[in-house]
Amino acid sequence: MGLMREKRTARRVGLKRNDTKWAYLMLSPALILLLLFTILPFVYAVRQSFFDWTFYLEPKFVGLDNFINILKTKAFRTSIKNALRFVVTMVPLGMVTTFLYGFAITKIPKKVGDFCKSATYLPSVASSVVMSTTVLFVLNYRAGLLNELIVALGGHRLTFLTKPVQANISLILISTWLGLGGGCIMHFAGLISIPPEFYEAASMDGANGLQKLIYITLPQMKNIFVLQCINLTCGTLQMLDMPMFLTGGGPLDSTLTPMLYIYQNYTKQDVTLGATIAGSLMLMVFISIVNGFVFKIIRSEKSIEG
Amino acid sequence: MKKYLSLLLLVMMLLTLTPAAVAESEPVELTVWLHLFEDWNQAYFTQRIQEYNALNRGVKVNVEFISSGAWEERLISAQAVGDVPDVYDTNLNRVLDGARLQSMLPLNDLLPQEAIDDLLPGVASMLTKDGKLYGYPSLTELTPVMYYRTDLFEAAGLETPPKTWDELLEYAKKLTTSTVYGVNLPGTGELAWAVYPYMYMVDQHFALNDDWSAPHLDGAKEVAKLFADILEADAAPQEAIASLTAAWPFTDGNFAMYFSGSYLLPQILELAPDLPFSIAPVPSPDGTSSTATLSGWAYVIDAKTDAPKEAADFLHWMLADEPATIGEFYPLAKMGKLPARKSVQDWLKTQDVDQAVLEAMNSIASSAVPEPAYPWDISVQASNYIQAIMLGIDEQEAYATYAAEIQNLIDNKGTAGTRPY
Repeated sequence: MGLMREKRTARRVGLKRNDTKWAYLMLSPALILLLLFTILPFVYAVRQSFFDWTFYLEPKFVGLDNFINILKTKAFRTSIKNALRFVVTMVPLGMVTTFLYGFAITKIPKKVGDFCKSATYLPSVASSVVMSTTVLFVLNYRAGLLNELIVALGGHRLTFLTKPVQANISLILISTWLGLGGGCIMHFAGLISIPPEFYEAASMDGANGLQKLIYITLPQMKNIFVLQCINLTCGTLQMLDMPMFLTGGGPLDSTLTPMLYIYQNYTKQDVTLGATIAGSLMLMVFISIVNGFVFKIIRSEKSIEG
Repeated sequence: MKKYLSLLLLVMMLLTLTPAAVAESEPVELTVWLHLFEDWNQAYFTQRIQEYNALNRGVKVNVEFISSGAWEERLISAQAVGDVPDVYDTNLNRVLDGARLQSMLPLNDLLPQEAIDDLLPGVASMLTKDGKLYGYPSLTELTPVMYYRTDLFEAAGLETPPKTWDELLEYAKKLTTSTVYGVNLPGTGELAWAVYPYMYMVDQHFALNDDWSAPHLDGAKEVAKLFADILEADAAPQEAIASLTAAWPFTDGNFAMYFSGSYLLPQILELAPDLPFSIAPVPSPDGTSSTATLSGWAYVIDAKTDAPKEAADFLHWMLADEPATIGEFYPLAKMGKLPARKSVQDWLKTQDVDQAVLEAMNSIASSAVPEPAYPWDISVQASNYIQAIMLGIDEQEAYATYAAEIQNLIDNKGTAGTRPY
């Protein structure tokens, strides 16, 4: 079936046998890089995960011990739970806020909308390290802008990053804010590409605003949502920099993500590397399973056709 | 005959000159990585290295100062590709990890015995495994030292610094005003190492029992109670406002008592030379067991170096030979960093340094104990146990959780029976 489709596609675009060779030739640099920097290191990593080793000691075969040890480690298990918690909070929150923001921008005058887009996108341009540092200034207990404001309004200073619930809320809100610019532009582009005739026809049929949203806008935006859902899920599962700079994974490992756990282990001098690699491989499997699950529940026909 | 003699003389001269000429033109190049600290600190070691290079001992040292934030990544990456620095500095309590993983060379065959014998016993124990020394210390530091504002003490009617934990709480409450906190507590990111001395003061243990086969969290429990009481009294900020390595919260007048390392002293004097403050040992539970932990830095030679003898030559000249070569560093550090050699201690007594500060630091150092060398993850879990109690989690529940995790780490890492000192 796939072969038939391929032949049909080739015929449609007028490809000759010689062109296919050129196509492979042009693909080859990317394939070689993929082989060198992804496939070979992956195979090597799988092999090394069965050894207890460092850059100095002779490797010692330990079978599945590295995998068992890392699964027994509470911090690693906690990091996986945290990642899932971040996915179920950050992904829907990110999708809803960016959609609503993008939708609002289509309804306001163009110049104001352009300003809003630029202003919101600005944090995305700066590196997350810079943004984390900025956020730390805002949330600082003693001299942070937010606490100064709270005190000026007669309230008591709040701890934003050293209690589990507050630290999680801070991290979720800050990450959502940082993703607002990129997500909103994506939604804005999707929204303005919906043909206005659809809405005109619906108006003639007496549809109200909510009905237009449910029956026209949301279905037309389906692929944007799918793309954003996959991006946000992957990004959230691999989140490293924000918790590293804002909370260091604490308090009580409540913001420890799998990537941060692995990074912290990798840079420790008192452990061997096999367990860290085993953790990385397990994280890869975990992310693949979650993404597979996301694909399965979304099932976008358009994206399959595309 | 005269002609032959002249020729012979010429040949002999050439033979004599050639090795020197070769040594001069092609010195062995050493790569040295040092942690980036204060400007004056970097300037001192840069100058010393320039002096060493100028001696033309057949070795040329290329030094690179690397920030702590980038250090681990740089070192691991260098080790991964085999392009390691020949010599680098590391925390004293990391040296035995290097010895265990064979990433550092033993120095006994590379340094004269008198240089090894010159080390203070407490420091030498942190660097020695199976009778072999794996690093040579450049400096030691004490954590914590109590810095306190004498003017605020006077205003509050307090004459002497607190000696017991009960007094500490009482003083902290008295000294707290609308603009000044009585005392500081370590932030969550620094708790794991900052609580070592407090835990030790309770019953002379850190987080493990004597043979490192099981958790021992009695000290941690008491520390958690003390910290929770201080927070409950609002005598310390609910969240640390800066790292313990920063002096500005103290010099800006936010605290009456400030617990940090001895390394903070040069910063305080630089930021606020006229600040009325004094130094005292940290209070202990009963007022008699004040303890600081001994930490510091050592130079090590990487096991993969191509030039171990040259690396040892540099290390010996820089740290282990003439007392003045490293000794002149400590007055620059205002005695907040201390020597690790007996001969340098003696040399400092003859120098124009603040003998009162030196005496105060030596007094704290006399009861200092080395930081524990067990795996870092164990320290982190012990600090999580403390945090859990401070956050109001039931003590027994917290103990069950974190003692089990520490036991798991002991089993996974084979820690039992490996205590080196």
